[in-house]
Amino acid sequence: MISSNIKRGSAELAILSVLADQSLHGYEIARRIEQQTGGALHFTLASLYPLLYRMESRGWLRATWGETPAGRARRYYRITAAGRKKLAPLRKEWRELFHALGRLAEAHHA
Amino acid sequence: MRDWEREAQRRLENTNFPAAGRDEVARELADYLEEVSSDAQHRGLKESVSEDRAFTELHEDPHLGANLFRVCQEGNMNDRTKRLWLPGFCILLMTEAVLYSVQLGRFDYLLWLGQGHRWRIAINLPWLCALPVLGAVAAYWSRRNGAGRDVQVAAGLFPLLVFFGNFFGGPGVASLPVRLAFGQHSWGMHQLMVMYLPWILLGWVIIPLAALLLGVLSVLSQSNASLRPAPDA
Repeated sequence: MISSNIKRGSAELAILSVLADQSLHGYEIARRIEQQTGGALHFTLASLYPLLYRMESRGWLRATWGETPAGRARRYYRITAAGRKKLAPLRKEWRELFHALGRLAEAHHA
Repeated sequence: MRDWEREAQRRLENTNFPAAGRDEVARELADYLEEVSSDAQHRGLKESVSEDRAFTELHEDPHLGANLFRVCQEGNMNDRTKRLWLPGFCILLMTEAVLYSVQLGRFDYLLWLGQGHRWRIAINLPWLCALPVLGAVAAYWSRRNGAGRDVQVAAGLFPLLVFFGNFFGGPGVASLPVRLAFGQHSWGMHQLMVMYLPWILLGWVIIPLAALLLGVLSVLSQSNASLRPAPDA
């Protein structure tokens, strides 16, 4: 079973990664992550919003209200300088973790 | 078509959200649910099935409202720390540090006002000159973290606590009744202190407070100027 810290870490990495180039609203964030991970990572409303709010309160994301073309209120998230600063070491940590797990798996096969 | 904002508000009903905060969260969740529903319809699902899918997502986690409230509370506390406590305490410490370094370095040029009169006010001039800068730094720091005008003023005037500390601690005002009660203070001395108290208050509290306020107001006036629309050409 994957610990909640690892799950949260991977979710934070996913959100920061999709917001690295552009600002997006909540549903679009969830959709992009699902598309880019080939469905391996799937967010629902209950898993996405507490995380977005937490990341916003930590200053990694900034949200602003805008409007949809239909005139509906919509909140857009963008990554902040603090978020970018967090993204680089987070990417490195995960890359190292996957390399380590890969080595472990190969050693087990040998 | 469902009113998703009402559904979301109903979902957040039993939480401790203040009305304004709940409306804002409900509006955001409604937009998400609207998208879930319309996306499912674009993929060929019937309207009723698409709406059911969004409805199920809204009710998937029974603790959704409590979780969102907890995270928002954390955010509010973080904001208060960043906007008030952190700049306020840092400037308070810096105010005290400047005062002590001025005194230790013997740069405390005391300006005596009212020389030769019954009243005399001692003002630590170098320290006084530093106060508008410190007040402005605290207000600016607070503003940079998104604080409103009242919090900027509160952060800028935080060193007021030190002033009162100096006032009560310096001339021994706080311990005066105790010393009088135990006979360690002559009545004449007490009368002398009472006579000078207003001037000590003026020199150590009122004038430094005005200096801090000057710095805070300079930041507030800048923020007003940036808010003012540019005049028409």
